[in-house]
Amino acid sequence: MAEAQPLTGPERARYEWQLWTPGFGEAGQRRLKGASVLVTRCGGVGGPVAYELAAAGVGRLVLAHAGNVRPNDLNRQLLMTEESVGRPRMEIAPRRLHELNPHVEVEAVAENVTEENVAALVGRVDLVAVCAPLFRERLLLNREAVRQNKPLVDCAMYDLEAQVTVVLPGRTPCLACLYPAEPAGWRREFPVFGATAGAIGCLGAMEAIKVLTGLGQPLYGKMLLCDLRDMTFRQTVLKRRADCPVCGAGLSLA
Amino acid sequence: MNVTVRYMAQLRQAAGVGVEQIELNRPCSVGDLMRHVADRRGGQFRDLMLDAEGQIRPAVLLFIGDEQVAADRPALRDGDVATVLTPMAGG
Repeated sequence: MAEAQPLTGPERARYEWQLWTPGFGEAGQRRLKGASVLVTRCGGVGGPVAYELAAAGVGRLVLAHAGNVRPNDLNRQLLMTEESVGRPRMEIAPRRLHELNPHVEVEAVAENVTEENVAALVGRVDLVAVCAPLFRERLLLNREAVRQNKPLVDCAMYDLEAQVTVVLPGRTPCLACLYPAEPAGWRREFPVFGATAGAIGCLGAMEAIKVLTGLGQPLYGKMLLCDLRDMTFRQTVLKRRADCPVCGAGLSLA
Repeated sequence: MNVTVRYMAQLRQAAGVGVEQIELNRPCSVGDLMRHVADRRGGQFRDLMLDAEGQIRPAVLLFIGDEQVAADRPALRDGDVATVLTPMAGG
């Protein structure tokens, strides 16, 4: 993890309310300022993740999301705007984050995760926030995070249900333990409200902050299952696969 | 013996219910139970649960209580609450 960075007076003023958090304080804020997070993609989940990490004062964000804003993005992709429809997402997203917090360094990559770019993207950060609709991208990020020994926060949703978990390579199940292969016939469109995407994105951002600063108990090896239809929230305990080709016992990590 | 099964995500939509009570005549695993239920329900429910060989799809997560379990063990006990979670993703 990168070194903690000293805070300026304006930063102390900006983060005042979170500096009061027991177990966080100035030391936690400095750690956050020294940290970097990859958020991909930056849609319904990733947008709120990036926004809350920017609000909290993470030092650097690397955003990765290809394509232009579409009208039907706007029920949930909170970094996008009506005016940005038809424009690249990575044009509006950094601007919106900087409108909130100009202190955060933002790198915007107008690509989705591929075999060709994943190593470099993960290599630039301390933590990976997986907010992607395609399992191919999630499993690539997982493989690379495990290989580079970087923690990973994974958020997902369907309808009014959502889930979040934190992978600590070599210690917890990884995403390949849960999803050994891309599910057959997976469809990337599904029913969802922005409030559900935003809820799990905010929880994912809070998990990232906890991992980066040592605050609280992250969901290491646990998955929070959320049902917003009846507001049932449950923590479940996940299992590693001994034969997992990505993190299985006996495999050495880089 | 009686068990409760909670369905989540697409499976809940395919089942039309989020939870159902099932009476078992003999002990069985969550996987055995779901293979039976999937065969009985058929249609999209079956497609979500089972692969072409009739096995539980690897990406379906199974829980007894709050513990993730394998498809074929342990055996369910009277009063257990099982959860079956078909894959979700971000976006």
